[in-house]
Amino acid sequence: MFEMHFHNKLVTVGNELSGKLVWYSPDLHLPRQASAFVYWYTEGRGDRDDQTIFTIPLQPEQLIRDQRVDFPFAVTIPHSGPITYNGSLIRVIWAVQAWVKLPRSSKRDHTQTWPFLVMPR
Amino acid sequence: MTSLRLNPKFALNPYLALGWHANPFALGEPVMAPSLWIDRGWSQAPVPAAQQLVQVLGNKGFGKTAHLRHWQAQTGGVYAYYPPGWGRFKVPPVQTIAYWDEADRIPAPLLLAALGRAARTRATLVVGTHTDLSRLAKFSGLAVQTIRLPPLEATTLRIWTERQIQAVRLPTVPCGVELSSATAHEITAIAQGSWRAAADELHIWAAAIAHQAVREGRDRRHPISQADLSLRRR
Repeated sequence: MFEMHFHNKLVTVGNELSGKLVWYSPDLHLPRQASAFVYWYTEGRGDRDDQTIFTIPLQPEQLIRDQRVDFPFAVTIPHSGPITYNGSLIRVIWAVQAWVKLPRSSKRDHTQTWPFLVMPR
Repeated sequence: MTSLRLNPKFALNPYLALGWHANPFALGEPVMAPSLWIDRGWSQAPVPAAQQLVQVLGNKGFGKTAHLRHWQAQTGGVYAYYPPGWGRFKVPPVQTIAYWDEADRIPAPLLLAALGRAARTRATLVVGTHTDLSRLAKFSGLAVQTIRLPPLEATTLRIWTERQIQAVRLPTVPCGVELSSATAHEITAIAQGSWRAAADELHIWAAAIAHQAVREGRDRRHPISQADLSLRRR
């Protein structure tokens, strides 16, 4: 489905995360819907919180069978963070997620996630 | 950042150092996967349309909501949660089978009206409550079954922990972590019988051994030893 190529997997707040999302699939079932975004979320013993910071522009029509399609992206991580955190009761995780909804006949949705680190200045 | 120097992937996710993809005790879906369910004697859902009230009594964190959700997954029917404050002022739903969580928060006039409606339509109500509602239910014409959930004890906690760990294990990766009996007893004492409080403590326990594994530069070929399993107190 997708591959992710980060230019920098460790970013300080206020700096730019950039990379390239690469589509390739020999699958007969091409997605009906697709999206990709840069976001953070919490995981642990509290209610989950999350926020999307940037949506990578891609349309399902761009995802062509047997053809590599690049989606380069660059996004500035907010000064306010939050920073990546691995605590005892909660984690804050930054990631890029790509999601495709495949045709009903294949009965599949497909989600891929690539985490990266956001550090304080 | 020390852990980053050791291994960048462990900085992204310290639980990989234990062969897990996440902390086993992170909160997840409200309906527990069947493989994680621990039978405590009340796994079978109540019978719908039986003109009855099944009340699940227990202190906070003893597993009332877990039982309601487990049964609802078997029977279907509506589930209504009554929060503190103004949110509790909502008409309780009555169907063939309906689940009301924190039912003791339902204002008395709404509760009485809904119990009466359940009796007239021969519905089954399943409620999680901190106070006994049997007198009101019998007055309304419902048969009453009461389930009093016992506090969590160490043996059950160890079984549950093992299943939670299995659920987050990476395939084909050995895992040498288990909850010792001593630590389980310590956690149940701290939690005072509450699964929720025990899960908080276990989340901290799992985070501590994951961070220790990262700090010591261990990988999954050198599993955590029993000596590492003492409970880390905050």
